[in-house]
Formats: sequence, C-alpha cells, structure tokens
Amino acid sequence: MSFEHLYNKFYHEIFQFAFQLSLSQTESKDLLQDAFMKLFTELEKGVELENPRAWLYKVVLNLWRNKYNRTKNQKLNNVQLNLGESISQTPENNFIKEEKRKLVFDCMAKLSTNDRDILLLYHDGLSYAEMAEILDMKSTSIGTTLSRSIKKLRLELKTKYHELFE
Amino acid sequence: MNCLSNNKIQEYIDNELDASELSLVSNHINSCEECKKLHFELLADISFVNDALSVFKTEPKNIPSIEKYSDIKKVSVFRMPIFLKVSAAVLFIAISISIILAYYQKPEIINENEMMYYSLMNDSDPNEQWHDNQMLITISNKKNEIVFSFLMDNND
Repeated sequence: MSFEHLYNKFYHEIFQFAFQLSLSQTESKDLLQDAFMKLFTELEKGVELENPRAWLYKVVLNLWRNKYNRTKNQKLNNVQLNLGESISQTPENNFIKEEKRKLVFDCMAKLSTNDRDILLLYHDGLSYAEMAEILDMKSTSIGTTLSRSIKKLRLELKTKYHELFE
Repeated sequence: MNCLSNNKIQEYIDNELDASELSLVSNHINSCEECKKLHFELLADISFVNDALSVFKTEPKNIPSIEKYSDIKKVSVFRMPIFLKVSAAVLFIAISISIILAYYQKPEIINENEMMYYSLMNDSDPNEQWHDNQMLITISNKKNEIVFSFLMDNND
C-alpha cells in the first residue's frame, strides 16, 4: 500500500480522533502531521504494516500522551475551541455545539486516561484486538474496562449535564 | 448457567465472543429476565455515550495536499569555513586597534609658559602689526615677467 493511498484514506478518521483528544484544530493538525511523517519514514524503510489504521491510532495516541504529559500544568479549559468550523451553521447552533463539546470534554477529563482513550477508540469502531494492541492491554480485559468506563462516563454525564442531552 | 457479568454482555453486544460462547450467552439472555434487563441497560448506556461522544464530530475538510520530496528544489547554502570567520574577526580587531593607535592624541596639558604667553597676548596692542607694515609693488609686462619691483617700508 502506498503512502498517498493510506493518507487519503485515513486522514479524516485520524483527524477526528486527534480532535477528540485535544479539542483543538491546530493541535490535531500538528499531531496528524507528526503521525503521517512517522508513517512515511516507516514505509520508506520497507516495513510492512499489518493494520495501518490501528498503527496510526496508536501513534497519534502516544504522541498526544507525550505532549499532554509535558504540558500537564496547563489547564484543559485553556484549549482553543472550534477553529475553522463550517460557515453553513448558524452562530447559535455553533455556540450550543461548542458548549456541548466542552461539557463532554470536561466529563471525559474526569475519567482516567486509559478509560478515556478506550471510549474514544470504541466510539470509532475499533475491534477489541486492535484496542488491546493500541493500549498495550490484554484483549481479555478490554470488555471489563470498556463496560466500566461506559458506566462511569454515563454517570458523569447524567449527574451533571443531563439537561443538555434530553 | 450462572447470571452473566457486565463484561460478558459487553462482549456479546460487540460481537467479540467465540462461536461456542456466543450461543450460550444468547440463550441465557433470552431465558433470564435479569440478564435481559442488564443487556438493555447496557445497550442504552452505549447509545447514550456514543451520542454524547458524537458532539466531537467535525465536518470533513479538504485533505491538505502532500508535496513530494522530489518536487522540492534543493537550495545550496554557502557556509563560510570556520577559519575564515575567525581570521576575519581577528583582522577586524587588529585594524581597529591600529587605527586607534595611529590617530590617538594625548590630551593637551597647558603648561606654565603657555599661560604666560596668553597673558602677554592679552597685554599687547591689537594694532601693533600695522605699525611695521611693508608693501611690495611689482610691475609686470604682457608676458607676465616681472619688470620692476619695489619694497616700501613703513617702519620708522
């Protein structure tokens, strides 16, 4: 598989994932650039990637974790929101969407990193084996962690921000 | 069969069970009321969480184009060797020092004799030079050759 093919195929999906992690368009663009740079060098070396999709997820996640650990002192609330959203939406809709995003992001921030990441990966429809590979976990323990983190997030959302989702 | 745990139902929902386990679990869920309830609850939770997470969806944008390395022009950059840089610096310092040495003037110290001289100048008559005037009169022809010269002395 050529680099350009992979790039065009997975750009949107990985961008989405990076955006969920960082909630900032510029940040996710940076993450994507680094991830695809890595992919390019890997392919140049002649490494055969079995599952490039999972590989890209893993790279983006690790890049983000490294970056986040470095800037841990910065508050999550300071992230830039909603740069370059489409013009077709009305400002009100945009505002509501932004608020919802922020609320969900805050709720996600209360979970542990592993729970958060597993939820995001699950939302993107990755299989248990892929998730286990990305998060360096046993594939047997994925089900347990997943159901637990779903319960946790649901509790967070329902107790605090139920009015937004009803 | 005992009642099912959360993770088994989760795996059942996500289709991650083996064929042998799958039939067991599905049979149990159909027969056991409590597990059926749990199954529905989990499904509701999953759809709720997925709904909540879908707020992060952004509209797909144009994929930025990639530029191949071969398309990028190589720009040669001239870098001075270090010994040239060092020698230039040394030369600059040497030249500036020599210029300073060449044009350096000691500050003038007025000595006692000069002070005397100034005072004398102040005492002297400003019209003194007119007292001993001399005048030189020359007469030249058309070829600019001096034919006659005469020195007039006004001194007494």
